[in-house]
Amino acid sequence: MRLHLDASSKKVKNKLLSKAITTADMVIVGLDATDKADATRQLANRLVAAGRITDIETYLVAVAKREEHFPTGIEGGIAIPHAQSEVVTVPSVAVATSTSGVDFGAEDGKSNLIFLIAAPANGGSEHLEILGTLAYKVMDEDFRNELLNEKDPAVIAATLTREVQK
Amino acid sequence: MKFVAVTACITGIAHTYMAQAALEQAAKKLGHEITVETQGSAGVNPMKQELIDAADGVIFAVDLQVKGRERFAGKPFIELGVAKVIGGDKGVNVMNDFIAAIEAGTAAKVDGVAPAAPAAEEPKAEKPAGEKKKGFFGGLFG
Repeated sequence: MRLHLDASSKKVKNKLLSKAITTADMVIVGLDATDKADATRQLANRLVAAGRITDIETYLVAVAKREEHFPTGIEGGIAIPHAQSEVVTVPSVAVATSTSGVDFGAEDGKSNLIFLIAAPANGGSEHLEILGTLAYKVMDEDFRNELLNEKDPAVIAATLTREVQK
Repeated sequence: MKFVAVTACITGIAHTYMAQAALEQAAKKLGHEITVETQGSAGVNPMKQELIDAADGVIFAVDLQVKGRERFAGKPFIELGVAKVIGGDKGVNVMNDFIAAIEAGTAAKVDGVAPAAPAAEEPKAEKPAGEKKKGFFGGLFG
């Protein structure tokens, strides 16, 4: 898999710019967080700044509620906190890589790759499909390593967008 | 072996699709075939009844009730929470245990009357069940 922004992925990116599920400003490389609530808040702040959610507290409550039901940390160093809420304006994902990791309740320890998913309450099914594709893709170890090893937020955003919105 | 599976989680956003990936990876690793129907918030594409009829076993990785469960009537099955197949070798282990149960003849069978088996060639024969399903899935969203 190529890490670089080649011509075709640029084209895809431009075509979908208005509704790309993530952009460079929603990516945190080297996240430093005390716990999962802190990590989730830092990522949610990026969603607010990008205009993807209108009310951070409402959204965080929904995410926390989902986490209570069952933690979203998954073996393999991933966490995928998520919520569907009316305060989400555009289906989005904020991404963080973390060397030290954050405890999201995975059985094998901390999560180094965190995807905070925001789904609108009334999202069309094609939007929800994009988020589903992301969740599906996250199970691909090569894809995860590609994201984990990348230091440039723009490349991470482009890689993600390319893979789930093609 | 041939498997069919249904995955569904509470929000229908993430785990439904992660479980799909996990089960597909497990089947690939073990050299089996699997078709997964995701019952998520993005909607449901019911799998063909022929696939179910041809399956040796059914895996329900669900936190919710399976929609259209009657389609699987009579098939050996295993049912567990969606997270039980996601991560590490979980999917592989679940599949291996299930295969052992199928081979030993100890696997539970899905309740109900099996869909009219070999007559599946005749599309008319499946019509009533199909019609019923439509209503079922129509109300699924959300």
